[in-house]
Amino acid sequence: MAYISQQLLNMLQLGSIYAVIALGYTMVYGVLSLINFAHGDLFMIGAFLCFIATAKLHLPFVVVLAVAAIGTAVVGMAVERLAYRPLRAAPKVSAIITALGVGVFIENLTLAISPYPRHVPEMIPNVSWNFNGLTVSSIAVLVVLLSVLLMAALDFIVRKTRYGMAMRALSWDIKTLPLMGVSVNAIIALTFAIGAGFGGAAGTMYAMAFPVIDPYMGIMIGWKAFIAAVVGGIGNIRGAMLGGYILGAVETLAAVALPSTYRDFIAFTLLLILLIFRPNGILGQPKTLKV
Amino acid sequence: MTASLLTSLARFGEALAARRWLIFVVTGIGFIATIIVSRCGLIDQYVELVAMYVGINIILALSLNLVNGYMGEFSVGHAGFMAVGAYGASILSVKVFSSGVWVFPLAVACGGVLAALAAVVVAIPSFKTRGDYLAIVTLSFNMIVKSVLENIDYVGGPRGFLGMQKLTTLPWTFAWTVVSVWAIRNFVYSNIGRGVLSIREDEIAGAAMGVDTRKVKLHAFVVSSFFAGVAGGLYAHLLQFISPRTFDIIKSTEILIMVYLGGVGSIAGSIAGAVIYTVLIEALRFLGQWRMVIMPLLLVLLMIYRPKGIFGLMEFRWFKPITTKKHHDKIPVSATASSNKSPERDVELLVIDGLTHYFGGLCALSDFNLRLGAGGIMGIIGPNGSGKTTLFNLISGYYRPSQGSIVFDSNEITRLRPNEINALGVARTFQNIRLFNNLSVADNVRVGMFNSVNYNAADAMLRTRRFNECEGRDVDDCVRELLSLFELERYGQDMAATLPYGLKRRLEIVRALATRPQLLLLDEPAAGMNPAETGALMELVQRVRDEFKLTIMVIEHHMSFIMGLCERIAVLDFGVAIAAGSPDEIKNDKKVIEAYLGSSGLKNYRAQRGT
Repeated sequence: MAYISQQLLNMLQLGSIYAVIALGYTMVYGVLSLINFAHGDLFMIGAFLCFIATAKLHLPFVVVLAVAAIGTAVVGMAVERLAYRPLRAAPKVSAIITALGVGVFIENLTLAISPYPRHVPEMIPNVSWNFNGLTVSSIAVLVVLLSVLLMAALDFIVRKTRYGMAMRALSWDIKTLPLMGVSVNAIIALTFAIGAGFGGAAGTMYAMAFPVIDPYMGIMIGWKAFIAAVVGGIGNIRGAMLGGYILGAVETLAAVALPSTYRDFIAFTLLLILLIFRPNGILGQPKTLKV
Repeated sequence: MTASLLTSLARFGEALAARRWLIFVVTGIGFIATIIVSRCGLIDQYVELVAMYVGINIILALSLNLVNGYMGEFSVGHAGFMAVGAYGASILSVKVFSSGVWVFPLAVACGGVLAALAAVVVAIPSFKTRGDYLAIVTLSFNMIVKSVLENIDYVGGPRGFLGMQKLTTLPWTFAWTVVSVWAIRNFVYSNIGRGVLSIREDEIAGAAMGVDTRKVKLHAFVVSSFFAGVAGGLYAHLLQFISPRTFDIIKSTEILIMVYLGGVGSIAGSIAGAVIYTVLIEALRFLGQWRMVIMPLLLVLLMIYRPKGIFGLMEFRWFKPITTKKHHDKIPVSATASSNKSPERDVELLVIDGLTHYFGGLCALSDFNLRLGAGGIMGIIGPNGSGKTTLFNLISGYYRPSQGSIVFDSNEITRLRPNEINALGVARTFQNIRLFNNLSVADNVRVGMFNSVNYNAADAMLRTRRFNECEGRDVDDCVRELLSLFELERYGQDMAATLPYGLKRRLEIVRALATRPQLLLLDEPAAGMNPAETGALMELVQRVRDEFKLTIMVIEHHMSFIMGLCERIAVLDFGVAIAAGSPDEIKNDKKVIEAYLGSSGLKNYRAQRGT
């Protein structure tokens, strides 16, 4: 019983991180129909900013979180401005390749600057509470609470504010929106800022839970989060949250049943099977063919 | 000074390009030179190594270009196929054969075959999805291959695989490179290659012209992966060490860079891209890790400033097929066009029963019935959104009807795919012209002949006699005749995109005729035309009907066009057939006038006519 609850808690923690990263993919896809392959690397930048703020500047946790989120948001906006905006009218393939290129660029740039894995010091006191054999750490609680808070905030922004309305409108029709007096560039920049900011926050959470970070960490985690977004239905915000937790659960279960080296294999096979049977994800809407 | 140097260089290049026999001289000398150089150790070992990398990268770039450049699909996990080939070939040479230099080409080819088999995994999802979703599929494939290899102890797991002899030599690399260029070039310039191009240009129109898109995609993925596997085998026996990490996403990105640097859809481009990239990467070795920072930056800049690469879609003349000028014994197209049907028939050509189609909750077509005999021109009219194009899309197989059946020429076609329906004899044009814009006018028509050739992909790649006979006589003559029949001959080599509007409409009809249909569906052929052009089009449609002995269904809003041309007319309104009959009957039908003018319009109309 305790073992099962322990695994459930692990699922929740891993799923929360995936969900927060997946939101970044899904938001950008929602407004631009672009897979931002560099998003996983923005997550990595968040983790490194967290490392700098903690290990070098010794800032308190709340400030660390703000530095990582805002810093990553700025990088995200810069990537959009410099690499994606010039290609907005170009064929989609060019944009996707650019996104891949930006990702590899960020990874290798970080690697050139900081070639070794880094150990992130403790940000909050790591306390464990024991309930009948179930160990709950303060870190796990913070990760889960923080991600629920972030997701609730995003859901509120997208559904209840003017900016959220503009984002939703943008995803329907990029040509009509400027005619309604909304600046498309501003809304896209905002979307990237929020998406990347979430990536940065997730980087901090990850560094808290798994404190060894390296420049290539964003590739695999980013891909997993992307799978989560696709599983939920890419472009759908609630789908990304759902997908994050599903993937967290699948991976935890796989780790229980099989050697851990099969984890990636299972995640990607799940994706392939899903794409064949339900190409639009769990909450996604199918597109109609226009002849 | 530089300008004159450049012009003389260009002239020299032109002179070279014009002499095709030089290909054999260059290849022969090249091969002998590589043997001499590697035997006698004439060049620095490092230079020799880089030269071999260049060859392997040329094969990789070409193989990816087939899928990404020519087919316009989006594979980003090409290193996965390379890995399959590398491991396959290495297992064979180390564990199975263990010795013998002459086994090497066999091992490499087997690696290619294994990679080709793996390609089926990627090709099948590509039937349904494309663009970013296919990118996900291919990337997942790459990741899965890597993950599987890491879990197989037999090949060393994550530690990698050792023990290969250094069997990859300069002559072998040269030979495989030449074979790859030759085979892929032959594949591209063949019937199935035109199918590949039609998928890039417009998959929907391709299917309407009878291109079996599934078969074409499968072929392209298999051929492409075979050569990626070959490159992998060569690579493994050059490095003598491979590990799953050798073939990760970074490797795939490298191949992408080479393709997009050189030029999408160009063999010369792939060669140039591979050469430039490999040499550049070696030259920048002193930068260390920063080299890998510059590489992706280069890719991003390329995408922004020159997304189609250095060569773009241009091709070096040596790689293009020779256009034959000679005429053979003519088989008139008009006679062959409808040869597969008997003119005297008592069964109806097209029988539609209770055809109903819903888009979500909207009923776009409701209980539509039609009996169409052979030989006439039938008009379909109705206000916008009345279901006319939906009807065409149902007949030609783009939509599966919610209810009802369609029988064409005694074949039930209700659930067939567009290319199968086309192969049975239904061709169509589109409301918003769908030509293959980046193909020549002649190639547009050639795509229409997709199902008229009797050679297969192997014939094409090996350039067998069957290929030469079919391609030279049947296809070329037929295309030439069709073009001259419709006065498009002098535009034959022009890009379809450059044609003026009226000629584009005409070319779309000619392309449809090349599929040798019995039934031709024209969707608003006169849209956007002035009265004079509309008149010319009417003559053309009549001529097509008479000379090709076709049955035609036409959707049009120009009433003069419909009334002057059609023997029968059906009128749709909100998905319901409200009238059918001769032009005179339709003109005076109360419901029709109401549908077009509204009920108050009917009163005015009556008042005017004094009834």
